[in-house]
Order: sequence, then C-alpha cells, then structure tokens
Amino acid sequence: MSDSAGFDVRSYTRTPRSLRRKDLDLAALQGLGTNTLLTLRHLQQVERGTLRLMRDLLVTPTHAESRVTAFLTTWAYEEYWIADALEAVLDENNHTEVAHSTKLGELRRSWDDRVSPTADAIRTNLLGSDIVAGHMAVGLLDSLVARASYARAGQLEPRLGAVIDPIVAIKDRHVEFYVDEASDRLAASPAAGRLGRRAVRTWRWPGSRYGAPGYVQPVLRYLFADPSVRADIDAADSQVAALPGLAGAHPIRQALGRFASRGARHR
Amino acid sequence: MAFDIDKFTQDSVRVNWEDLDLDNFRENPLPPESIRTLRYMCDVEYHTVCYLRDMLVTRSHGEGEVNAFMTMWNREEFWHGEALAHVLSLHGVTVNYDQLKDRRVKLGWRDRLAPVKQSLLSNIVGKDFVAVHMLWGAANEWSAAAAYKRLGVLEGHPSLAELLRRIAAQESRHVAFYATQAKARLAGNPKAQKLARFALKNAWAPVGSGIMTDDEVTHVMGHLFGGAEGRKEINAIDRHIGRLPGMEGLTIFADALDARGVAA
Repeated sequence: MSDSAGFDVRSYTRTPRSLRRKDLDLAALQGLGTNTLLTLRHLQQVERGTLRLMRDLLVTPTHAESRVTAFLTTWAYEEYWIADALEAVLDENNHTEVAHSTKLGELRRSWDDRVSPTADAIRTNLLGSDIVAGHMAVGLLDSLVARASYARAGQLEPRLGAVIDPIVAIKDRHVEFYVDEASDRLAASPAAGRLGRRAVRTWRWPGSRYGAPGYVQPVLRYLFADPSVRADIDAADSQVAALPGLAGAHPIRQALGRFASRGARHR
Repeated sequence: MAFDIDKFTQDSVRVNWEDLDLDNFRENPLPPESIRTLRYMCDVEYHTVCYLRDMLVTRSHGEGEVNAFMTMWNREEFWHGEALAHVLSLHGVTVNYDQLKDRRVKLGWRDRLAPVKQSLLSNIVGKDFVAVHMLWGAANEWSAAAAYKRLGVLEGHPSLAELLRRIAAQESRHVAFYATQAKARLAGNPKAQKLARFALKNAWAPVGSGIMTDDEVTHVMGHLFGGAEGRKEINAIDRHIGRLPGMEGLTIFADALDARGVAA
C-alpha cells in the first residue's frame, strides 16, 4: 500500500516491536523498591487502557483516516505487549496492588463508557475532519509523558534497563508519528488549529482520570520532583511548542505543577 | 471447546506471503470475477477497525480476555487486507490509504452514526447485547473462513491457495473465540437467546453489506457460494450456528443466498 511522505506508517506497521516475557530475565528484577513498583503499575494500567483511547478516537472522523488507523492498529499491538511485560515484572515482585477507581472515578468511567462515545460521535462528526488535529496533539502529549516516565524510571532503577530501553525506543517511534501528523493537521486550517490548541489546553495526565490522586501523585513525585528532571520536561514540552500555533505552550510542566500544588494542599 | 487467550495472543502473527511465488500472476493473472471478489474481501478486511469501533462502544469490551482478543484480531485482519492488497497490486489494482479514507468518508452518516446506534442499543439492552455481538462475530468469521477456502478451491492457483489457507486458518481461530464466547453467554439465558435469534433473523446481512454496494455483495455470494458445492459450505455454516444455544433451525446464510437469487 502506498504512503505519503513523512513518517513511514507502512514501514512502521511492518516492524512492530513486541516485548515478550520469555525474553526478559525476570529473576534479575526481583526485589524492586516500592516506588518503582508503584510506577510500573501506574504505567501498566495506562498501557492497558489503550483500547479505550482507541475507541474515543474511532468514534470521531479520525476513524476514516486510514493512515492513522493503520498506525493505531500497530500501536495497540505494541502497547499490549508493553503492558504484558510490565505485568510480568510486577508478578515477579508479587506486587498485586492496582489503583482502584474512586467513587467519582467510577462515575466518570461509566460516563466515558456509556455516554461520551455517543455524544462525541455526534459532536465531532459535526465538526468534521479538523478534529483529527486535536487527537494527534493529545496522542503526542500522551506519548511524550510516557516516554519521559519510562526513561526516568530507568534512570532511577538501572536494573530496569532491559525492559525500559526497548519501551523508550517504541515510544520514540510513536512520538515521531504524532509529531508528523500533528504538524500537518494543525496547519491545515484555522479551525484545526483552534481545536488542536483546545485539546492541548484540556489535556490530562494519562491514568489520572479515574483513580484517587493519592495513587498518581506519589508516582509523579518520585519520577519528576527532582530539579534535575526539569530539562527533560522542558525538552518534551518544546516538542509540543514547536507545533504550528502552539509556540510558548508547556502543557506537561503545567500538568505537573497542578499535581504538585494539589499534593501540597493534601499534606 | 475452550479458547486459550494466552496462546492466541502469543501465537498471533501477521499473515506472511513473502515466501510464496505470487509474481507469476504477472504472466497468469486471475480472471476478473476473482479480482472483483478479492477487492471486496480486501476492503472488508481493512474495514475491521470500524467494526472494532462499533464493538468498543458497547459493553463487549472491558474484560481482559476480550480486549486482548480484539487487539490481536484487529491487527490480523488488517494484515489480511495488506496481503490481498499485494495480490491486487500484482494485477494493477492499487489500494492505498487515500482510497480507503475516501471509501470511509463516502459511507457518510450511516457509518458515522453506527457507534451511536450500537452504544444506545447496548445501553438499553444491557449485558445480553454482548451475546449478540459474539454470535454476530462468529457468523462473520465462519463465512470469512469458508469464503477464503472456496476461492482457493475455485482458482486452483497453488500460491494463492496457500495464502488463502493461511488467512482462513486465522479466521478459524477467530471463530473459536467468538463461538466460545457466544455459547457461554447464550447458555441458560433465554432472554439473550431470544434477542440474538431476533437480531440474526431480522438485522443480519452478509459481511460487507453495509460498506459495499448490493451488486458487489451479490457478485461475491454468487461467485463463491453458487452451485451445489458452494451451497454445501453455506449449509455447513448454518448448521454451526444452529448448534449454538437457542439458534436451532436458523438458516440465515441459505436465506441470504435465496434472497439474492443465488442458485444452489
């Protein structure tokens, strides 16, 4: 199948990377610290939510974008195996705890599962294909923070290298795809730009919608509280700010700031 | 029949054709009626992601096993599309992302509102709707497996037959998943059975009906399942469905052929 210039979706679909348990030296990953395990659980639950994200894109005009759906099909496959590998590491450490939804989270989930797809299908189909720009910007943000989280977790626990390094490489390709798609689509029309900016403004940290802040906050503090990480966060934000119409945006730093101030209030 | 989801996900691969001698199509091309059928199959396979969407808005998703299956299933079907697109390309028929997009856009509001309809029905009917989805999936996968096998037999081209055999083998594993799920969800649940029977009888149509024109559907049905041999395959699918709880005596496939004037 032919493909346009830019990120080579065709080649990407042909070379997915699937992390398999049998390729990991799990015994070498026993006895990981609590912070590491909580981080891996958070990331594993985000990866497991892939199909839900896919649904939210597919009910909109994005579903007609066969280039995007070819990417998503392969992306979901890679994410599945990332989640499975993380689960294997967690099992090896007998870490069975999962972040449960709060009451509010349950309400949100039931709304997201039962009402949002219908409402979004109608709303976005009225808006038309400009909506794709926003989806690609959000996809980029999700991939950037996932990449930063894995990379940082690997720095803090070097034993994770064998699991983390391939995941970071997988995320690099996702980032590359979304940068390419978002750049083209944000520049396509004023409406696309507007919808894209709104999507960036309302973007939420992955995995923070249903669970208690008490689950995500310690993970983010563990990963990103140290001032030395600031440069990495700024670098990730700058990839968003480099997109058409988003100069000066720093959504990731802002989101972390919100978590930090909420944490201060709770203490 | 139990379905081992771990084994299914572990073994899930993209269908491979690089080792097959397909280039001899350049000298010995397939006849136009087979190209037309392959084009239909190719479009339907690529459309899987839209079927996935329609399932994801219902309560069919959410459970670990179902999510794992859908992830692999969607990718395997995508690769069936890629494999068939390759065969078509050797016949000068190009299928690319832009064409697929055009086709999806042209489907218009009926396609765009399909998830709305599915979601509303699912919310109204509740959990029993999942049984309908699984039964529907089983019917479609049975017919897909049969269609690939039939085309392989009809053409008698060794490399094509091998490619279609590989695709059909994957479709058969999809059948196993859907049929196991359908059976478990229908067994001992008269309400779900009644609903599923009603849905198959009144709303089911051969796979591809919503996205291809009526002429194309009739062509493919007649090409693959016309005549005594074809009808034998169709009756076998009807018998499979009839063995599921509450589905005794249904003959939806034979009825679909009769309605389209495809002679046995």
